[in-house]
Amino acid sequence: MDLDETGDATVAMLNSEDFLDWFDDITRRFLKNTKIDKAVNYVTTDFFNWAQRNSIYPLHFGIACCALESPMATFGPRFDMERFGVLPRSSPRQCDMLIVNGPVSYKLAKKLVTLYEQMPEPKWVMAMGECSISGGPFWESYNIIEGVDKIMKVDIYIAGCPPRPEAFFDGLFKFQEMIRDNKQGMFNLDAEVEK
Amino acid sequence: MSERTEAIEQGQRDHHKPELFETDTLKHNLQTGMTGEQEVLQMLKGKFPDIEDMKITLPRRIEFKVPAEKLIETCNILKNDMDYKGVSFISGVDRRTGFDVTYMLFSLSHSPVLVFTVSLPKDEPSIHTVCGVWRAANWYEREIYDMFGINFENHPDLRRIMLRDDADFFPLRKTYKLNDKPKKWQEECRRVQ
Amino acid sequence: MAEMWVNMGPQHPMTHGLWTLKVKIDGETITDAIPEVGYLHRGIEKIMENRTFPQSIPLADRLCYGSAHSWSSLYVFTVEDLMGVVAPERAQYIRVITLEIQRIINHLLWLAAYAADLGILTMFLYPMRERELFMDLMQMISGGRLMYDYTRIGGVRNDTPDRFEEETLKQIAVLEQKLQEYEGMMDDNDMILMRTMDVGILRPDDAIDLGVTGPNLRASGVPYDLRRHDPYLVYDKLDFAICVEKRGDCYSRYRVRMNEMRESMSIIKQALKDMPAGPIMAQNVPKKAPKGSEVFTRTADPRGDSSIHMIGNGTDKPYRVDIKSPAFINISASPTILIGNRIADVPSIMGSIDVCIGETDR
Repeated sequence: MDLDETGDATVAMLNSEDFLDWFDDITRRFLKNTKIDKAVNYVTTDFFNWAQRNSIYPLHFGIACCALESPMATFGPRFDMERFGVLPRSSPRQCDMLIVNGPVSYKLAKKLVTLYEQMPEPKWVMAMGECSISGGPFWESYNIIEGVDKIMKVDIYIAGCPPRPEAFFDGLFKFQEMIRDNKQGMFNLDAEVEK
Repeated sequence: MSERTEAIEQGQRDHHKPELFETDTLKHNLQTGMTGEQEVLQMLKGKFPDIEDMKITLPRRIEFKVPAEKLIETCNILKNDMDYKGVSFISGVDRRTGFDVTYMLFSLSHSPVLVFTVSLPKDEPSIHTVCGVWRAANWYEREIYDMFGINFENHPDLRRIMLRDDADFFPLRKTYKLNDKPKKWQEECRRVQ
Repeated sequence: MAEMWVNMGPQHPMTHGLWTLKVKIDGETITDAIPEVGYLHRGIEKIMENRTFPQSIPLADRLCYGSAHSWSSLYVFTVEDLMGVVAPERAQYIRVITLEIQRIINHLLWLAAYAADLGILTMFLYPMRERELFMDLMQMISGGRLMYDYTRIGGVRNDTPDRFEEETLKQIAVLEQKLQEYEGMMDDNDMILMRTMDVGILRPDDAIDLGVTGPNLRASGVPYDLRRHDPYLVYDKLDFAICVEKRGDCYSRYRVRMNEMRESMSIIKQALKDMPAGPIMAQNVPKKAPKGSEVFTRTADPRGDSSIHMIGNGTDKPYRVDIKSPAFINISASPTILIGNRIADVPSIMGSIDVCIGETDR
């Protein structure tokens, strides 16, 4: 609670942060006590989950060879990943999947982490090709990190050097199953309280 | 040469605006045939009587050695008098006893490429830049500096090009072993996670 | 107006890979530019020094993902020069055919990416569709889609499969027709002409001094093509034109590549017709390079003149491999092309010079 500029104690107001906290707390208690959260979950989880797993927007970010297979050839007419709702976007702010499709050098590492941090939650990382899994044929090199999982958590690995578009789609379908099994899109009040 | 190819080389295509560059002189040079290896070798021997081991190694390749102090002088003669207007590459070699810097030049009027080598000492190798002669040399010299630590005097922008600026090693030197990853960078990666 | 620096990359739709372009702008006019590369530096040269000659062929393939076959071929040609091996004539013809198919694949990929840069996404889809046909041809002959590992020291891995000639001629007939379609979409489109005509002019004397080679040099009006002026394989027996344009702008660079695809198709047809029967591998290929041998080999990559400087020391590993890529030097020339243009033209200009970071950073 703050006093206003004139110093009159008659007008008391909340600043925005306090207001959000207060509002959060109120809605949370309201939803929990009235059991509306369960009702909402019952109605919407399946829908949100379906929407989430069928509109995966990867970042339009090519590192090396696999970039030609995953964003380019699969975006092309023969494989057409837009059938499955996958559409590359150029800004990390609009994306929910980071495809690491090449070797990560020490010079790149910091920028890659920055890109990852710029993406909004929920977000996932796909390591595509041998280079991003383990360093691939360049693992001995002085400038290459042996796998992108040394610097960030990876959710799905696709093997191959480079993986064929079919392999990419196989990985994508497994990934969609993973989203379904994780009940992504559920309205989980307890998890947020813990956080 | 068939009619079809001639028609294409004359540039009979539907251009929407008039052409910018007149290139008939260059074209003339190339189509009337370039000077062969033997003539170029004779010309070189006339220009540089001091250089002895000048020889044709493979078809269209002439190799010789140049002392470091005569580099700029030689390059200027090759560019201005001999019409070697372009540098194809500059490469560095660690010979264990010293360093070599090799220059390869191409010309639009002579068919052979010139390859000449400058030998440098093992400790603190340093050589004058040729950026003033060919602008293409800029990045090649930066790369050699990055990989071998050879200093190029008077270079306009001598920085690391491939590795990070805080690198403290020269990877293509023979003393640097493969899989000898820099500890500092590895620890930094662990911190990020 | 105040000058400011704008950072483009490493993640930017313009870059086609990992590199940074810092441009200094005064209003909208570019007054200075600094390209930064090295984000994909894998130390391939150092790794190659520690591998035997045949082991390095797949590594050379991974130098450039747009035209993998031309790089592994260059590596193999260098080793052959070093060891004094000559491939049999049939192998040389097969190499010419596969190299030209690779050139078409590369130029179609370039066309797709460039059209997407300029804002017509439809034009991205069409060349990608025809590129798949040619990738099928390479898959037929080598088994790989993107990386082929097809050439071997002293020849090629396997002979052409059945129906290869038939299929190739069929796909060429398709592309010949489709090229007209592309030209209809690009050349009759006022928007494309406005964005490419007189944009990013590179003068021929600048181009030679800056070391620019390949289609970018020919677009500036210099008819210099290594397939004619430093012939390798059987290119001196084949009839093809050097595609030259005289404007030096983005439009010329686009025209050169379109015409080169036509020339490549003509070369493939001639090579298929002239191809003799015979062995595809040379006999008695040595495993070791002679002591003190040193070669400089050049080929005409789809992006320009690529060269390898290799030194042998009597063992089965090279003492030094130095790879020089055309994209590396084309990027270093980009400030000269960019200065004086508008910042909105940067994607148009940088797209037109066909950058591949895999071979730039090595």
